[in-house]
Amino acid sequence: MATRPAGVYDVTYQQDIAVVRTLPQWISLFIFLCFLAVFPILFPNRYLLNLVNTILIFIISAYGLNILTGYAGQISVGHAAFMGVGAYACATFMTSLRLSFWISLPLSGITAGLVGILFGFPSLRLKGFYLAMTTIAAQFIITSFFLHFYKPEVLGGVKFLSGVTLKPIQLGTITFNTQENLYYLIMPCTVIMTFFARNLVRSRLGRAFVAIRDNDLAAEIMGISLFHYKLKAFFIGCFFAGISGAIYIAFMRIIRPDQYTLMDSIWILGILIIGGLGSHLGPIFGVIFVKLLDEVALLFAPALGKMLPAALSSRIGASMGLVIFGFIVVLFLILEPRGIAHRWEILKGRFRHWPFTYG
Amino acid sequence: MAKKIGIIKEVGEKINGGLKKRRERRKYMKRNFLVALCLSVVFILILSSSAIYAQSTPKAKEKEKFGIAFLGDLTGPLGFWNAPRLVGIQDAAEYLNKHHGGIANREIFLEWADTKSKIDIATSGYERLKAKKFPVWHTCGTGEQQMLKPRYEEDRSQVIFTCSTSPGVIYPPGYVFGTAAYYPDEWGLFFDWLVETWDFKKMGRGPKVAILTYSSGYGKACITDELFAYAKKKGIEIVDTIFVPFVVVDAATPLLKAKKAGADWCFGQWIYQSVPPFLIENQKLDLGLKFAVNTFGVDDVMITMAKEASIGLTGITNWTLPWENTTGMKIIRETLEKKFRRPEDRGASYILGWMNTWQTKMVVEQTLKRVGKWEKVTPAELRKTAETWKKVDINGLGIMEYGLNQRGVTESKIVQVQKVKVGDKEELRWVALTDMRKVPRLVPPEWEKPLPY
Repeated sequence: MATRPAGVYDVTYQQDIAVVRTLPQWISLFIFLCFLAVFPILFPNRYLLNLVNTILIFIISAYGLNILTGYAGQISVGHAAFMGVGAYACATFMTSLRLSFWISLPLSGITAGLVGILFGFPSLRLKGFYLAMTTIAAQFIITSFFLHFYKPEVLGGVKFLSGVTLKPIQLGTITFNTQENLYYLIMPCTVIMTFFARNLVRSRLGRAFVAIRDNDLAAEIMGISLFHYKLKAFFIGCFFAGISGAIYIAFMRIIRPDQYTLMDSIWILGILIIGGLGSHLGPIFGVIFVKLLDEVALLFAPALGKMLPAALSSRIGASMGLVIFGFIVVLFLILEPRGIAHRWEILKGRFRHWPFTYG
Repeated sequence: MAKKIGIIKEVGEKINGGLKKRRERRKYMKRNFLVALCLSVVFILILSSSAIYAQSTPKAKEKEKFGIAFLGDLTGPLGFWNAPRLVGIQDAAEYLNKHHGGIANREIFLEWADTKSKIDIATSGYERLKAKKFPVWHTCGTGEQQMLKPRYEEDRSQVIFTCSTSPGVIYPPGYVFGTAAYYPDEWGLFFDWLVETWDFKKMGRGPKVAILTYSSGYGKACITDELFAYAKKKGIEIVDTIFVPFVVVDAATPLLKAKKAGADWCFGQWIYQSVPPFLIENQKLDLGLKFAVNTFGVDDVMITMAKEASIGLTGITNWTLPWENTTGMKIIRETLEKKFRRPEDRGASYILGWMNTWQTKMVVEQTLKRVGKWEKVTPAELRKTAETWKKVDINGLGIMEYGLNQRGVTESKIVQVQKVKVGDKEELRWVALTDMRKVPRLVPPEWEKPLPY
């Protein structure tokens, strides 16, 4: 559902597919990017920046799944594992091959993409829940691989485990060792990946993905090679996950297999559903909503605990965070199943057509 | 004709009615959504205002308080372990406030953050608590601690008493202190005892052990090169490493696998929830396997759950056993009775909560005595105090010992569940098989050097 501001007409194809269409939109984008650039100066709070950095990393990952599941219709319940592939690949490139982070970053994305292709092969024969099952298998195979076959020695042995030997990422004289500096590493990456994701869905590739999602048989009859495009979707989706995993390494400077669980994969899918599956703003809205809600719920849990007698506070108080979180998510899904992005479009439409009610 | 028009009108009205109903329903749904949204916002506002109210105490009062931070998994896979620990800290704080004037006459209060055993939530919780500048923290969870260790040591903003004595948590030595021996050291002591009690003549071979443990950071804390080398040196063969989940559904398969590998003993980094199914299944299948657990498995809840099957379960600990009549244990037992605590809350983690709170009191008061002023009680000074502890008795709950390059205790004892006569009744309880003994030091040499203050 897309509405145009009153009086704005698309007279050329370029206008029709343009992301930024009007001068106010350009100005808004410029102001927003400026805001992003000065965010750590405006809010020099370490806790807030840590949260924002986490959100930005997960946005990249969610974009990957949005391309794969939201646009190409290939359900993946193993996305966190592909993040893990990126993270482990990056750590290996940096520690064993002694490559710089800046070379390791794209290589990690490519590695995750290639592993994604491997697990994307079943998609040629399977759809829906059956494909979801194979991606769950991918989740377990990949994490088991990290757990059992990935010798810690590859990552510098026990020293690496402590996180002490993996030095902060550097770019010239800049060391990315504080939340502020890390923000300037993560934020541009997220902006670039968002730009790629946004452009991709407007391209021939993106339209082919949508065609496959809507009706793969019809798409094939139209000349779209399912074999190529489904694998491309897996490659791109997992590439995004890999990049996000590699950036997570720069953020945490340590890696563990239990960071990438099935639960995390399910939650990335949940984030997309809440944000709006198959919409360009869905991943951003979804990640922000879920992470903030999680944070708010966890913030209130101790406060609730304080109001209860000591014996109940640790049990009921702590669980209240989960209850609030679950309650709001369920409420949201019942009342807005098409996600926040849909609500946002309605809001925009109303604003544009005001004082008229249609639109 | 009129009839036809009538029918058409009727159909038209029906359609209109349907549309109207649909419109109304949509309107109703929208209204519902808005109402629900408003309710949620109101709910959050009430919560936030109450949270702000709870946190905004007058400044004069704030100065008289001493905050302890707790960072651990309360609602994730380790929630069953940490919730009683939090109850323990709260009970201990209440007791100390009432009977000992808190910590150096400052009332103790507790702030906690749930990690859900998830790294992103743990880092966020860490940052939130760090902003409040609590000088002493109690933490749990190897995975999160290993991930946060670089931050702990760079920030140097708090001294931490953790339950995890895992590689990469308490070593390299910095601001994190354990409450037991370094896990591989504990298992080294167990190997010493095993070889000592093993009948080589009768068996014609050395003992064979299988590692049955969680695939988490905590579970894998015993799998180190140093421990494997030590086992080899002692003539012990580690025949298999089997990973098991926290919640055991199928206990038979890992046990049969261990048996097939030729294991005499199964040992692992366990907490009470997982071991009883294995003990019961072992008894049921008559496999004859013996089991050993680390400090956090030496738990009365284990006996409550496994009952007779727990006989022979062996453990390594530096803590006082729950039935012993020390000052600290008596206070704990009285509190448990007075507050009607559930059986699940009466285990090792509850005792740990008390122990950490006593430790906090001792380290803060000793530091205050040394530096003279509250303003000078910094995390660095607290660390220096803790580093001077040589076999310090934590109010009869356990013996702690630290040093410049020492973050886990150096002595522990071997204990076992046995049926003993208490008065007229027979009772299952943990019994010490050895005195306190020196544990072998299996810390990697590169971790010996202390991290900067």
